[in-house]
Amino acid sequence: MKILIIDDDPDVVEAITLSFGLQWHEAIVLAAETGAEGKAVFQRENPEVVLLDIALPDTDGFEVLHWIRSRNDAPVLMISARGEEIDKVRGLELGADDYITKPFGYLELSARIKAVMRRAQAPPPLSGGGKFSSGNLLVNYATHQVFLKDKLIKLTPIEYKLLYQLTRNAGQVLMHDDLLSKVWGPEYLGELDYLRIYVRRLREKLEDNPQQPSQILTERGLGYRFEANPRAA
Amino acid sequence: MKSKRDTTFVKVAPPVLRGWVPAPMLRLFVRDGAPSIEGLDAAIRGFSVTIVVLLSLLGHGNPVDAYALYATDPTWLALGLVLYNLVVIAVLGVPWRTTPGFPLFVLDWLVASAAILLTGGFLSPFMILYYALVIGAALRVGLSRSALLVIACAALFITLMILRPDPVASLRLPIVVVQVTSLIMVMFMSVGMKRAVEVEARKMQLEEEAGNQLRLLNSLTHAALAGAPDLEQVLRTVASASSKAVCADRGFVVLFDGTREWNNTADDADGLLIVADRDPNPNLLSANEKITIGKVLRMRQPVLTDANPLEHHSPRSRYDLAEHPEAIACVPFLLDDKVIGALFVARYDAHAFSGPNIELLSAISQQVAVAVRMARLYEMEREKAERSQELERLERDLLSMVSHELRTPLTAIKTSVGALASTRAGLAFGETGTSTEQRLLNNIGRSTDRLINLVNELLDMARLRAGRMTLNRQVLNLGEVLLDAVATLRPLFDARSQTLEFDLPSTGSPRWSRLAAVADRRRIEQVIINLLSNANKYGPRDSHIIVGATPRGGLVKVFVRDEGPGIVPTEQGFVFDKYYRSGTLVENSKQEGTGLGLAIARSIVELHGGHLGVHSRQGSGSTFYFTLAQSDVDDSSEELGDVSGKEFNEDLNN
Repeated sequence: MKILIIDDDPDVVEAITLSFGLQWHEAIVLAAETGAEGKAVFQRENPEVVLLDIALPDTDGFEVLHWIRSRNDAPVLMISARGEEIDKVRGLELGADDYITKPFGYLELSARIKAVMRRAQAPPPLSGGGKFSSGNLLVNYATHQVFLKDKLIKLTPIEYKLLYQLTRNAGQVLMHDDLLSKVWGPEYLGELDYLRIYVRRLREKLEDNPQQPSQILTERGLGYRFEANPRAA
Repeated sequence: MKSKRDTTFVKVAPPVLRGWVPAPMLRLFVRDGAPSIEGLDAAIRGFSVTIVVLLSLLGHGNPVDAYALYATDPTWLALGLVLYNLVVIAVLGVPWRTTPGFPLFVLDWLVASAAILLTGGFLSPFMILYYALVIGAALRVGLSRSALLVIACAALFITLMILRPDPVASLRLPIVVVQVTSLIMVMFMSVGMKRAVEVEARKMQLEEEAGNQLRLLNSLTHAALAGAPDLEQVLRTVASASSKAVCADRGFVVLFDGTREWNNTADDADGLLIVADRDPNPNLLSANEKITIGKVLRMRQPVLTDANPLEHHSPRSRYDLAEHPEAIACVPFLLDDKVIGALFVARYDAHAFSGPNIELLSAISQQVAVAVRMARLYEMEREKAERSQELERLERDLLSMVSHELRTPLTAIKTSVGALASTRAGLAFGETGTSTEQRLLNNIGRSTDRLINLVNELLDMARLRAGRMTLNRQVLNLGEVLLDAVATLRPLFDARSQTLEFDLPSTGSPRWSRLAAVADRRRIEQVIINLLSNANKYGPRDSHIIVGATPRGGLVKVFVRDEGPGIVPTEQGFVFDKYYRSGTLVENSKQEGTGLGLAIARSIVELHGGHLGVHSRQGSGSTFYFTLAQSDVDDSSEELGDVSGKEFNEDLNN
């Protein structure tokens, strides 16, 4: 598995490379010190996961992230020494899959990479099958396909898992931490930013008016609730 | 100024004259709504000349021709008089342009006397010219000079009486006496009338000035109290408004910058801020002005100066030399009995400034002093705020830079040590190994974690101070959060053989669900971990630590009780201060730390609208606790099928 690290600190890059070499034999670590070099390696090697520092000598990580996202959906983990909420939100909004604040250890990093990789795979069959329909929306749990007005809507694995949780429990309030734990994993409890950003993306894809959603509803302070078939109601 | 006044008289002229009399003529006769001195003089003169012309034309110009000194045709004489007056008006512009001096009246006297001599002496109808002359002189050149003219007239009469035999000799004496007495009476009456007219005009002027001054004071007070940040603008307004208010030709304001002694012999104006009503950037003071400022500085009261000969010898000042001020008034701005500046006004004519002028200028100066004080305070506050902002920014930048620079190498260390430790000993990092190598690696790992904590605490503090910490609020069961945190730290308690006891409602009970509060999970976990690790550090080995959570009175209280040394009452107020580390605690346990943990914990709790506190008695342990508002929703809402959170709330309330 190819992992691309774009970070200008050679010591960090070396520590990660050597650690992975020692413990994660199937991982091939590619390193780039600048944004431009990172893009070149990305195009040439087509890595399966990218570790991307925000502060780069020639550009910032967000720009590189944008560039990567315009090419494919390879999982990207932003790594930053700043740890500011605003950076995290920005990274997630631009399509980063995770955001890790320096300093982190080998175990934490490898766990996060594995989690991201796992999430990026096609979602596991969460149920035996069946369909869910509400208004113009149709979710086929067996094929993981989502249709809106009979048109296939492309969802990322995380978006699909989130929608799955919401529609499976339509009408019920799903608490923030429940959703985070079921969709992202138990280590994401309290990380409401992830949830907010993905709920917004789902609304943008599925709601007529994402600003005033009629199906994916916010329950302030609690979580979210899928309002089934609002037209019939 | 002049044009303003002009408009005023035209406005107040009697309506019947308006439209019939040209404006310049009207201005001659009426000033500020009252008859003018010049107008009266001109009218009487014109009237007397008209009378003699008419009498002469009617053949009564020389009734005692036989007795005239030199028999003359009075008609020609009267026309000559008209011509004389026209020449005087054409040459001197009297009374429109210049004020007639005494010599003109002497000339008038000679002309009138000649006319009288040629037309019958003291019986001549041309006598009326004497009356006009005396009235004019009384109005224009004052009592003493008019008296001289009256004496001259009387002398001529008496000479004529003695020299000239007369057909009506018996009448001579009474006529002369009556004539002279009449002249004297007319003179006094004219002087009185002049006074009355002047008083009236003065009254009107004072009323107008008082109105102007009131308006000016009001506007200046407003400007001063509004604390306008642009002091120079305020001062410019003061300079021009004051000079207008006291009818001065110019005005300016001098402000000492307060940092150095002003030396009035200095050639330049260092240390002075000068704001003039006309010249926006004056940089030189004339010698006369410097002397006046010096006087004001010494005397700390208003100084009035008449034309000063020095002015004429001074090097060219910033004003045109043609405009030497004739009268100066300089009023100090007093602040705490110190002269901080002065208001200057000057007139080019000889009118000295009056008492009321000075009173007004003093009142203005008081307002200016207030304005200056306010502007300076404002400036000081602004500078202070700027400095403190700059300091804060530097501190933030430094913290952010330092922590960034520390975090990157810490990442390399932590990653390397973690990988090395687990490979070498076949153990995951953090587990206890026995080999020297493993122990050393664990040591490095622990120290690295301490450094990381330190950096994180510094950053959190910086974030809290900058108000950049945001909360991700959600409904949480604080009991759950507490148990999770305890589980995380369990190895630490085990390492010190400390026994944990729980004081919690039983899981899932209605009381348990009342432990719900709206909070940021990560941040509240941080607070609880801080309290737990303090109890772990400061509680003795083999001691008990009680952790608990309880709902009470709309609040959820979470507490951690240790059996440590306790905190002396005098220190209890400080343990939450930034960088504060208790003397007792440090001494007893030799624990290290930044002293930031509790300060951060308290700030986080307060950011949630809660309270963090401590109960402690020296020697018998401490209880640290925090309270958050209880949320009236618990997580059982998840099990309520179709009922939304909102509806569930309503259900609860019903």
